[in-house]
Amino acid sequence: MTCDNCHEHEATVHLQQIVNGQSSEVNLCDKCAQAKGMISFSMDKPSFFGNLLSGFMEEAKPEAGDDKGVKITCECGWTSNDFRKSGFLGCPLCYYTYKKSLGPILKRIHGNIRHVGKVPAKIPVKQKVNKKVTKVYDPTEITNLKSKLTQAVNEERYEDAAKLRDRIKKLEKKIYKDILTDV
Amino acid sequence: MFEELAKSTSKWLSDSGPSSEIVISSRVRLARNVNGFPFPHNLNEKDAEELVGLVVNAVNKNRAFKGSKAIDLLALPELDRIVLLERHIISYDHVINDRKRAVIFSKDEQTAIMINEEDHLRLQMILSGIQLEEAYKALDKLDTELEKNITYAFDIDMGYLTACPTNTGTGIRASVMVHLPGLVISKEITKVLNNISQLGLVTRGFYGEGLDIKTPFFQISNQVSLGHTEKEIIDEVHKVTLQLVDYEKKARESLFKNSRARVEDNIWRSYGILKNVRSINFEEAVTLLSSLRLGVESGLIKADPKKVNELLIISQPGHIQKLFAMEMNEAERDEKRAELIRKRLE
Ligand SMILES: [Zn+2]
Ligand SMILES: [Zn+2]
Repeated sequence: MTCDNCHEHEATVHLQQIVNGQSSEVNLCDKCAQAKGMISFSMDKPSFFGNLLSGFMEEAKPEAGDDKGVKITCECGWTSNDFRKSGFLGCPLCYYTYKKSLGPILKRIHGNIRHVGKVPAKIPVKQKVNKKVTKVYDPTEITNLKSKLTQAVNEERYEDAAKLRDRIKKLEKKIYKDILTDV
Repeated sequence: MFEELAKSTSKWLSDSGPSSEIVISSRVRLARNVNGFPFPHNLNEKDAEELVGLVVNAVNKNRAFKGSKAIDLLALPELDRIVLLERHIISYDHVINDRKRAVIFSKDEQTAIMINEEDHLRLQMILSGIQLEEAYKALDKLDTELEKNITYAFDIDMGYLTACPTNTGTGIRASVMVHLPGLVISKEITKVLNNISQLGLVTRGFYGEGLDIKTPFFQISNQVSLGHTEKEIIDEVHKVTLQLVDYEKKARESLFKNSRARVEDNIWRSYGILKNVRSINFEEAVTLLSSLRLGVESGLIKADPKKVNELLIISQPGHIQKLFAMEMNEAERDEKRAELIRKRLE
């Protein structure tokens, strides 16, 4: 077996990773393993593991980001093709540009599509890339409404939920229209 | 640079946190990006320059980094970057990349921020033993402070927006580095690791060719970052780690009970080799040090556990060259490594 890194020497060190019961291996020669130091010790995600995403991305349609099969490009210059090939987004705005194909990918990776953790004190409003002025809003009100909505749904109070949904929609519209703060 | 650093011991290695006989360290990291800038891999030179400047400015104001300065990795020699890698301050990506990037770390090396790595900011905290909650608490505070000067890329539904969708949401990765010689020797390790991975956690480890895993150091971390709170994610890794500690303790107990002679022989042999060795490569050193660590932690060998931990770090190629202040080929490194280990174990 030859080294996955240099493809020259015999592989003697094997780095193993198990994700969801699936095991994958990287085989390295002494030299490469040494050069990389004790990689498993210090690594968050060894780069030579290849893209964990590739498996997920293969499932994304070639026309990722668009349903009509037209190649699209984000403001940042990142194309749907770049996204599909690398598994990386080009900029924060890409999350909106490629929202359609991203949804199922997030679902496959995380089993979820909705964030429930920490919320910063100010949230940027979607805007152009490389814009010096950052428009932000205070998320308190909308976060409160959203947690009330979750509660209403959990308690099967569907009428309340519908009302809350309307209020959230209105508020979101307002936020994107007139921005609260200008930092 | 870093001559002094290479000689010192990181606080997370010299401290003895809870269960540190099995859990070497707990690490939490948060991925964050600055709104309005493309992600690092898609930044042009000018924007990268501006982004790094902006983040460095915000970071320098923070009290956590009092007395530290951001280090420009473009200007830093490779050997110094490798020393930082070996001390777990920066990642391999951050060593080899050629874009404008920086790192800042606290004097005790427990807190660090990589700037313009895969994401604009990677905040990390490492503590000794099992202390994930404590590590997250400190990071959360630092993150909230930074937020005053930086507007993060965040979406109310998707959370923190990261370059790779595997980190979207909380941007959190909680991991522990565990030493599991008992489970490896008793050959229960594969079963245990497989069980862990069924729980949606990731395990990584190094092992050599042949039948058994030679270097029983493993990293366990969460896989999912979206749809659960930071606390839930941390609690899950914590819970599984406690279970692992329990399994490992039982494995060690039964080994010392049922195969005492064999286990003790292995430990004393390893100690003997380390004290007399004249040339040794890194992998063998780690294997023997692991065995010695088991001996020290189970009270068989009277030595300072800190020293063994430290040897695991300074036996790495970058540290050897730094400590002897010269560039070396592999054979020379193996000799100097042997010399270093012998001296430290005197
Ligand atoms: Zn190789
Ligand atoms: Zn983009």
